Amino acid sequence: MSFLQPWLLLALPLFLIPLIIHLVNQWRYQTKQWGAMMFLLAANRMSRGYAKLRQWLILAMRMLAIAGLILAIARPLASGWLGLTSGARSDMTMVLFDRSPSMLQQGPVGGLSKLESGSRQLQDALSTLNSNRWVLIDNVAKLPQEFEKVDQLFETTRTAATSASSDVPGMLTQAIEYLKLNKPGATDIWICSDLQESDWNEKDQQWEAIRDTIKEFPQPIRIYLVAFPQSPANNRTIRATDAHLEGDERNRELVISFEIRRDETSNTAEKVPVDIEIEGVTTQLEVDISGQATELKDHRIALQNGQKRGWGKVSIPADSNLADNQFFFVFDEPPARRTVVVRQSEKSTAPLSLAASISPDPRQSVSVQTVSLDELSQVEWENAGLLLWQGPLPSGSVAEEVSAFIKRGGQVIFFPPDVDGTDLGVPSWGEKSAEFQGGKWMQWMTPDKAPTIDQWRGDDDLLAATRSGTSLPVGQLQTKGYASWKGEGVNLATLSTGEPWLVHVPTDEGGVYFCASSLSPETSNVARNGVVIYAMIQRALDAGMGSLGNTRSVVAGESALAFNDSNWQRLAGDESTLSTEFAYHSGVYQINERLVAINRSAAEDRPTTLVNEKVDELFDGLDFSRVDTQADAASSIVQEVWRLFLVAMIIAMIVEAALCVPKLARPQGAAT
Amino acid sequence: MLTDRKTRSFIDPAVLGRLARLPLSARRPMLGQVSGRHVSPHRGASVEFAEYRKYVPGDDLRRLDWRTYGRTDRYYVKEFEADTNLRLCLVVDTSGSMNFGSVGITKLEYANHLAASLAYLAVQQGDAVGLTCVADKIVQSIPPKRNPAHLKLLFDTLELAKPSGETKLDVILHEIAETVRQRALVIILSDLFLEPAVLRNCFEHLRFRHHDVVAFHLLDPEELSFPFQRPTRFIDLEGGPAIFAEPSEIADRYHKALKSYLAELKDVVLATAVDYQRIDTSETYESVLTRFLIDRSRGRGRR
Repeated sequence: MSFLQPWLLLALPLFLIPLIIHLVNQWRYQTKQWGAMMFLLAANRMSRGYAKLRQWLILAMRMLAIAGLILAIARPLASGWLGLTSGARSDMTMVLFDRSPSMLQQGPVGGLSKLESGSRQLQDALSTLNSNRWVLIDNVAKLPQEFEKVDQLFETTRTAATSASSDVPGMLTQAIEYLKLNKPGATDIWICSDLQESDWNEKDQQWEAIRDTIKEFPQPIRIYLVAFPQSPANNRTIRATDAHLEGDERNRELVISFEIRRDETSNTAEKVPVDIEIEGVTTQLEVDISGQATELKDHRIALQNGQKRGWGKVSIPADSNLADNQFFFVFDEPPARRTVVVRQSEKSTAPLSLAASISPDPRQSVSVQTVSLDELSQVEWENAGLLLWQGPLPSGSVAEEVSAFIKRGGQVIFFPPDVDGTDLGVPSWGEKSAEFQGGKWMQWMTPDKAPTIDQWRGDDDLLAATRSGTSLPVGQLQTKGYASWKGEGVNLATLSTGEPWLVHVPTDEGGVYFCASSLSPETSNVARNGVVIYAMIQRALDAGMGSLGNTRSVVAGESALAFNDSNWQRLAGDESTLSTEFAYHSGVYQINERLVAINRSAAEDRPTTLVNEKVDELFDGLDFSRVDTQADAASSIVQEVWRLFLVAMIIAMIVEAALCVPKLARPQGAAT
Repeated sequence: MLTDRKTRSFIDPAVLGRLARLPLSARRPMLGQVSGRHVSPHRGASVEFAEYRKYVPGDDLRRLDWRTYGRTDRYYVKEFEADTNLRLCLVVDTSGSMNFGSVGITKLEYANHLAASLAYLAVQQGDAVGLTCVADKIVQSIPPKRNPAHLKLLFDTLELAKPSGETKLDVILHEIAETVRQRALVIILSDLFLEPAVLRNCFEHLRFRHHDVVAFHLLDPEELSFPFQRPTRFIDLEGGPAIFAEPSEIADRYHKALKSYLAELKDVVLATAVDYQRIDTSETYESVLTRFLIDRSRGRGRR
C-alpha cells in the first residue's frame, strides 16, 4: 500500500485513542460498598460472550473509523500489488521501456498489446504518483531523455514498437550513469517489460555491477517492474533463413527457405498460408506445419527479366503478435568469397587457407590470398570478407588498415604467433607485446597434460550448433600448447585450464576473434579435426561477406550502419516509422546503392520468459517491487482508493452506532 | 406510655400517633397468655358466640344451654370465641449487607424504624413483643413481654444494633421456629439475600409451627436499578471477595439475575403463605406500615 500523503500516516497512532480512553476509564474505576453481591456473582456466572463481544466490537469500530479517516486523507493507492513499499513523491522517475517486438503480443482477449497496455497503465500510474523529473530510456534511443511532463513520455512515437531487441541491463546501466551524473534525490525506476530472456540476459555480468552500484547510491532508489510474463497462445512466427539466386540471366530463380514456428503447446497439423512478396508481386502458398517448427527449404520463384537484385518479404496471417508475422529479405548475386590469410609460418596457415578455399556452396566463387607479414601491402582489403591473421598482432599503419577493414564490416580471426623453432619452446611476449582492439597475446603455455575445451557457447556465434541442432565437435579438440590472452571480450570457448580458447571482441561493425591454438599439427589437433575450424572460418566469412555485397540483412538495432537521414530510403516496412528510427524497424531500406533488410533477432521468435525466482535474484538486495499484469488488463496498476477507506469509516460508524443503541428502555427498578 | 424521654432516631411520635389508630392484627389464631384483641384457637368467654357442641361428661354444667335442651331434649353446650393477646417476634437482620443505603438511610436503619413502630403498636394493644437481632448468629435475643417498660429494652437493643457479618438467616429462622412457642406473629425484617429455595424451607418450618409469618424484604433503589456507569469495584459489605465490573457490560445480567431471584421468591412466599412485603427503602416507612396494617386488618378473623 502506498500513499500520496504518507506523512499523514504519522497520525495513524491516533486510532488508538478509543482504546486509550477505554483503558483510562478502566483505571479510573470507583469503589462501591455493596450488599447485593449475590446478584453480581450470579451475573458473572452467566454467559457473557455477546456482551463482551459487543464491547470489543464497539471499540474496534471506533478505532476502525479513526483509522479509516486517517488513511483516507493520506490518499492511499491501490495497485495490482498492494506492496508498493512507499508512495513518497520521488525527485526523479525513470522509465525503462521495452519496445522489443515481443511487446506487441496481445492479451488473451485480444485488442491491446503488451506495449499499449503497459504504456497506458504506466501513464496512469505515474500521473497519479507524480514526480519532479521524468526520464525515459528505451531500447531505441538508449540514452536517457528528460521530459517536463509525464504525458510526454508516452507520446506514440516514443512508445511505438520496434523490431530491435531490448537490453535491459544496458538500459539500467544507462540509468545508473545518468543518476551518477545528475545526482537527483529519491528516484523511482519503472521497468516495463515482458521479461523475455534474451532482453534481460540474466547471465550478463553487468547485473552484479548494477546491483552493487544501486546499493551504493546515497539516495533511495526504488525499482518497480511492470511485467507482462504471459505469452499468448497460438502465435506463429515466420523467418526467412535463406534467399539466393540461381540460374543464368534468362532463367533466373530466387531460391528461398523459411521457417515457421508456433506455440509450444500446439501439436496439431495445420496449413498456414504464406505470402511471398517480391518487390510488390505476391505469391501465395500453403505450408503444412506440424510440431513446433517447420522449415520450407529451397522454394523456387522464377524472376522476370533476369532480375538479379531485389528485395521481398514472407508473411503469414495476423495472429496474437503482429510483429513476427513477416520477414524481409534482400537478394543479389553474391560476391566472390574472398579471404586473406596473413601468415608468419606456412605450417600453421595451410589448414586455414584450405578451410577458407572450400565454399559450402559450390556455385559461389572463392578466392584466398595468402601473404606473409612482409607482403601486407599487396592485400586488397576492399573486396575481402575475412582476414585470418597468424603472427604478432598488427601495429602501426598495418593496424590502422586492419581496423578500417573491421570498421567496414570485415571479420578477423587472430592466431598466436609462431613459437621459436620447432621445439615448442616457451616464449613470453609479455606486457610489451602489440595490442589490438584491447587484446594481446601474453605467453605460450605448454601444460603437462594437453588441455581440451571444456565449455563453449553452442547457442551463438562461431561455435553455434548447426541448424539441425547438432553441436560442433569442439570437445574433441586438444591443444598441447596455447597462447594465453589478455583483454576484454566474450569468451566463446574455454580450455580445461580455465584460459580462453576463442574470444570475440565486440566492435561496432565487423568481428574480431582471438583463437588461442596454433594450427600447427605439433601443437594441436585443430587442423586435423577440421570440422570446427572449417565452420568457424565459413561462418566468419559469411558475416564478412555481408558487408561486401550490395545487399545486406541485419538485425534491427544491432548494426551501426552509416546513418544519414537523407541516405535512407524506405522500400518496404511500416510507413509510420520515423526516419530517425529506420535502423530499429523491420523493413527494406535503400542506403545509397545498397539494399538493407532489417528484421527482428532470432531470439524474438522464441519468447522464453524469465522465471520469477530469476527476476528476484537479479534485484536481490534492492528495493524492488513487481506487478504482473497482462496485455488487455483494463484496470490501472495504481489507483487512488481513498473512497474505499471513507466508506469503511462510514460503515464502522454506522455499526458502532447500531451496537450502542440501548435495548428497550428498562424502567428503573424493573425487577420490582 | 414511654417511661423515659430519651429521643430515639427511629421513633417518630407523630408517625406513631397516626399509626396507633390502626390495629396490628394477626391473620391466624394466636395463643396468648391473657385476654387480648386477637382470635384464639380455643373457645373462651367472650361475648361472640362460636357454636353449639354436644355435651360430654365432664363439661361444665354451667355452660349447658337449657333453652336448647327444652326444645330438643338434648344436652348442648354453648361456646363462645376466646380473645387473646399475641406474641410478636421481631427478627431484624443485622448482617453487613443491611448497612447499604443510597437514599440517606441504610436498610438496617429502615428496619429499626419498622421494628420500633411495630413493637410500640403491639405493646400498645397489649401484645407481647420480643426481638431477635441476627447476622451470622443470633446477636441479641429478647423474649416477648407485654410490659410497656419492655419497650425501652427493645429500643435500646435496636439502637445498639451494628450491621456486620454474613447473613445466616436461614439457620436462625429454623432455630426461632423451634424455640418460639406456637402461634406467634413472626415479622422478619431483612434484605433476604439468600437463595429462595433455602428461604422456602425456613418459611415452611415456621408455618408448620403455626406461626403467622411476615417478611419485610428491604431493598435499596440502587440495588434494584443498578444505575452505575463507570467501571466499579464492588466491595462486599459482608466481607466476601470484591468484584470488579464494567456496569454497562454486566447490568443486563445483573437485572436478569435479580428478576429471576424475585420471581422465585414470589413463588416461595405464595407457596408458604408468608405475608411478603417488598420494600423500596426510598418509600417512607409510615406509608409502608400504613399499607401493611390496613392489609392485615382486612384479613382479621380468618381462622
